[in-house]
Amino acid sequence: MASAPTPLFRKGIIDALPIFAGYFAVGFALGAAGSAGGLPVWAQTLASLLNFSGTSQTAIVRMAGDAGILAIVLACVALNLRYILLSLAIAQRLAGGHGFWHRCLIAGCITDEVVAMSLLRTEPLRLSYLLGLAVCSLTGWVGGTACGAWGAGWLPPSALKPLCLAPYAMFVAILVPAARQSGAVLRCLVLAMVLNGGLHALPAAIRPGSSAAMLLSGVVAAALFAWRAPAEATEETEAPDGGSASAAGNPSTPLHP
Amino acid sequence: MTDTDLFLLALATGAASWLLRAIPLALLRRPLRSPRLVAFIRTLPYAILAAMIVPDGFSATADPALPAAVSATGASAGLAAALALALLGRSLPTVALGGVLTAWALQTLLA
Repeated sequence: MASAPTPLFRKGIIDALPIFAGYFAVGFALGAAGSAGGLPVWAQTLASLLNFSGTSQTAIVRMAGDAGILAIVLACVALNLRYILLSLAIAQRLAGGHGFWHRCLIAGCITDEVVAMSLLRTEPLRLSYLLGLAVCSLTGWVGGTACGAWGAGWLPPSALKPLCLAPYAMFVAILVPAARQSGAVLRCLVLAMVLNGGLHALPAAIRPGSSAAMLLSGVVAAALFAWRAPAEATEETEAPDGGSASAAGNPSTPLHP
Repeated sequence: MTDTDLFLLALATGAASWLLRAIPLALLRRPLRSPRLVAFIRTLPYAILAAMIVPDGFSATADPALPAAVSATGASAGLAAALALALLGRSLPTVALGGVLTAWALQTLLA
């Protein structure tokens, strides 16, 4: 941990305030959905603190009733394979001098939005900044989950189900600015949707599981994109000195009004 | 699940989520050179999020107390509202809230 709140740590906390608000709202929705499914408040709060992952939490909420621990862990791994890619993106942008233990700590900071926000910065990334982002975001996430799980009892049942749309609406907010960068990215995202929709329409006998179908669709669409138009992605790759120009088209813009 | 199971579940899923993040960070430190690999890595998270929306998003608000057509209409309208807000450049919380409120309003009206 940073021994004193350095300016970078404080900057991280301030930069993550929009993420705090978003995570609180989405955590609230997931917590409420979990309580509607019978999960205790303490278990949801602990899971949200340790996972710091909306997709893990969604898997836990959906599967805890009828699946074993191992099956749920496997689902979380499958759903979170993208963390490998997010971690690689961060690893490429880290300032020198971050050893093994620092990297282990940084690993705990990584979420889609934290990575998107940190990639907006043009200078190499440091542990203190990432910790600032993560502490603020995680507080919103865990606080939102706990409040949602606890407050679900006060909500009318008819309001609980619409809250389950929150993660998907959030995906829309993340994807639209990414799709606006280029036609190739838009085509890639549409292809992923069409593929996954098509796989789910297959007869049950030959239909892959929904996690497998989702991963397969994403991998095929992204691979095709990378094969056809690699330059379109490297363009918005955080050019070391291309500051504001790359920030304008960066996928992290959804967090800005 | 018992309380012990739930505790173990939180620990095990947490460990798995952390390892997925830690292994590439701790072991793969060299920058990636291939533009295609970089393009793949940058795009895959977005492609997977896109795949999650279709079809799961359209059944996200499914409610045993409601006809499937009503919840599907509510979810579709919510996603359409989220898309419209996102195209207008609204912030993530606004988009999420707008989608949820639209779905809620429609499902309440149609129920």
